Amino acid sequence: MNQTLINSLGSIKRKIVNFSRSQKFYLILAAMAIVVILPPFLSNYVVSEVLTPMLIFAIYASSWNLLASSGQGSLGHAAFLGIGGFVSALIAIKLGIPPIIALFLGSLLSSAIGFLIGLTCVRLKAWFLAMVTFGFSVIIVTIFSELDDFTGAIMGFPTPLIVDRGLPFYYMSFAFAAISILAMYLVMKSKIGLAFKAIHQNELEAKMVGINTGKYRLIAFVISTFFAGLAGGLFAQSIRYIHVSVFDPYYSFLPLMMCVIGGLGTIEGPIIGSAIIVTIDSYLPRIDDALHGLVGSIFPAVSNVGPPLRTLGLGLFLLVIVIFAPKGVTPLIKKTYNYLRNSLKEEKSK
Amino acid sequence: MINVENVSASYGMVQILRDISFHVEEKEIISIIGPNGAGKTTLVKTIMGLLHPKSGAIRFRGENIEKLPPYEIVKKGLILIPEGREIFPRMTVEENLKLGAYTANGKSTVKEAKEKVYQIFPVLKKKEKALAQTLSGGEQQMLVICRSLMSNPKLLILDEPSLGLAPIIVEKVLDTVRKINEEGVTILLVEQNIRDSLDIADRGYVLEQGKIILEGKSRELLCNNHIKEVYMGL
Repeated sequence: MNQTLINSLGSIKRKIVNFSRSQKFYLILAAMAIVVILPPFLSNYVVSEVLTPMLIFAIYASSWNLLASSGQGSLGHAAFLGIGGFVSALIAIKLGIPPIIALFLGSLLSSAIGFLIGLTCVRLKAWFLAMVTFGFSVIIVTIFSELDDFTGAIMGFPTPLIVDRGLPFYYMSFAFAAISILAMYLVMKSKIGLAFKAIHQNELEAKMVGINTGKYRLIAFVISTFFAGLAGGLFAQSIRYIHVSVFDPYYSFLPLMMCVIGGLGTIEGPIIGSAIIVTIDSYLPRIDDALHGLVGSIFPAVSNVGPPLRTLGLGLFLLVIVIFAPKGVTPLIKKTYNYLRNSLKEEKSK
Repeated sequence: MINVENVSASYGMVQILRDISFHVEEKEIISIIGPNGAGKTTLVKTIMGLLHPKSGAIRFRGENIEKLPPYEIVKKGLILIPEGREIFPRMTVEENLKLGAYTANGKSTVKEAKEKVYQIFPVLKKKEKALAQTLSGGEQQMLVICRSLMSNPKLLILDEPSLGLAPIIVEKVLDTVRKINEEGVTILLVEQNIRDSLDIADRGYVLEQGKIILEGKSRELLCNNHIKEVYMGL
C-alpha cells in the first residue's frame, strides 16, 4: 500500500516536473502574468465592464462545456446562472450571512437543483434534452417571478458585494476563475472525464465497457450546475443589480456561442470564446452611437439602429466561424502559433 | 458458466424471443447461428442487461443476472463485443484500450493487460497514439477485441464479428477468437456466417424466428439436412 502511494506520488511529481518544462507551461504562465499585472494600468471601464465579465463568463462557458463533454447540450443554463445569482444575493440579504459564504450556498443550491433536473435529463438525448432544459429554465423564471413577494425578482434589487468593485473584484473573479477552471480541467482529464468522453462518443459502447452511464451523466450535471451557479453569483455582483432578466434565454445561448466560437470540448475554447464575445458585446455599443448619429442625420425617422445592427453583426460573426472554423478559433490560434514557431526555427537554421 | 432458462423478451408489444434456453460451459466455444431478424442481437442485448427479459432466468456462474444493469454485468466478467465495430472514434487507440479496463483497478494491472494485447496485435502498439477512426476496418475490429480483453473477461460474447470484413480478415479474427479461448476465456459466438463459426465452435444452437430450433455438436449441425438446405444451399 505504502509502495503504491510512493509510486503514485512519484508519477505525479514527474508529471509536474515535465509540465513545468513544457512550452504550454510558459504560455500559461505568461498569460497569467499579463492578466495579473496589466489591469492596474487600465481604465476602470475596461477592468469592470470588460475583463471582469470575461472571467465570469469563462467560468460559465466552461461549466456548459463540461456538461457538453458528456454529450449533453443544455439550452437552459441561464436557469442555473439565475439561481446562483438570486439565491446567493437573497441569502446574504435575508439571513445576513457574509456574501462569500452565500455565494457558495447559492452554487450548492444550483447544483442540488441541477441534480434533480439531471435525474430526468440523463434519460434523454440530443434535442429532447435541449427541449427539457429549455423548458425547465422557463419554469424557473416563472417561479421566481410569481414568488416576487419573496424574491423581489421583477423589480430587482442591489446585490451585496464580497469586495469593492473595480480592481479588488477583478482579482477575486480571477481567483475564482482560475480555481474553477483548473478544477473542471482536472475533472475532464481524470477517469471521470474519460467516461464523459466515452458516453459522448458512443453511449452503447460506454455501457459495454462497464460505465454506469446514467451516474456519470448525472455527475456531469451536478458539477456543471455548481459552477454555473458560482458564475451566476459573481455575475449578479458584477452587474450590481440583479433582476429577472438574468434568466433571459440570451444567457442560455451565450455559453453555447462561446464554446462554439472558442472550440467545443477543449479547455481553452470557452475561455477564448468568452473573451471574444464579451469584447464584441462591450465595444459594439460605441459603434452604435456613431451609427446612430450617422443614420439619424440621414433618415431622421430611423432612431435606434444600434442594437439590431449589433445582433446582426454577432450573427454574421457566428456564421463565419461555423462555416470557416467549425472547430472554433482555438485550432486557428494553435496553427498560427506553430507556423510562426516553425518559420522562426527555419530562420535560425539558415 | 452461463445458463439461459426459458427467456422471453419483447420490444413493447412485439415479442422477439420465445422461451429460449441454452447453456455455455467453462472454456467452451459456443456458436449461436441464425438468419437476419432471428433475434440474435436481441438475445445478446438481453444477456447484457440492455433489455430485460419478460420471463425466464439468466444465471452467470450461479448468480441471477437478468435484472442487473449492464455495468454490473460487465463487472462480473461478462463482456460483449457488439456488432458493427463499435469504437470510440475520436479517441486514441490507447484511450480506447484504457476504457476497456474501466472496471479494473490499479494502474499496473492495466499496463500489464495493455502489454498483453499489444503482443497479440503488434500493429496496435505502432498506432497507439492514432485516433481510432483512422484505423482500417480490420484494425478497428482488432482494437475492439483487444479492448474487450483489457478487463480479463470470463465469458466473451461476440456479435457478428465477421460482418463487413474481407474473408481473409474474418479468418484472422476467428483465429484470434480461438487463441483467446485457448487462454481460458469462454466464448459465445453469435453469427450469420455459419460454416466459419461452426468450424471453431464446440457446440452450436440454431435460432430462427426467436426460437431455438436445433442444437448439437458442431460437426453434427454441419451435417444436418435443415442447415444444409437453408443455410448452405446444398
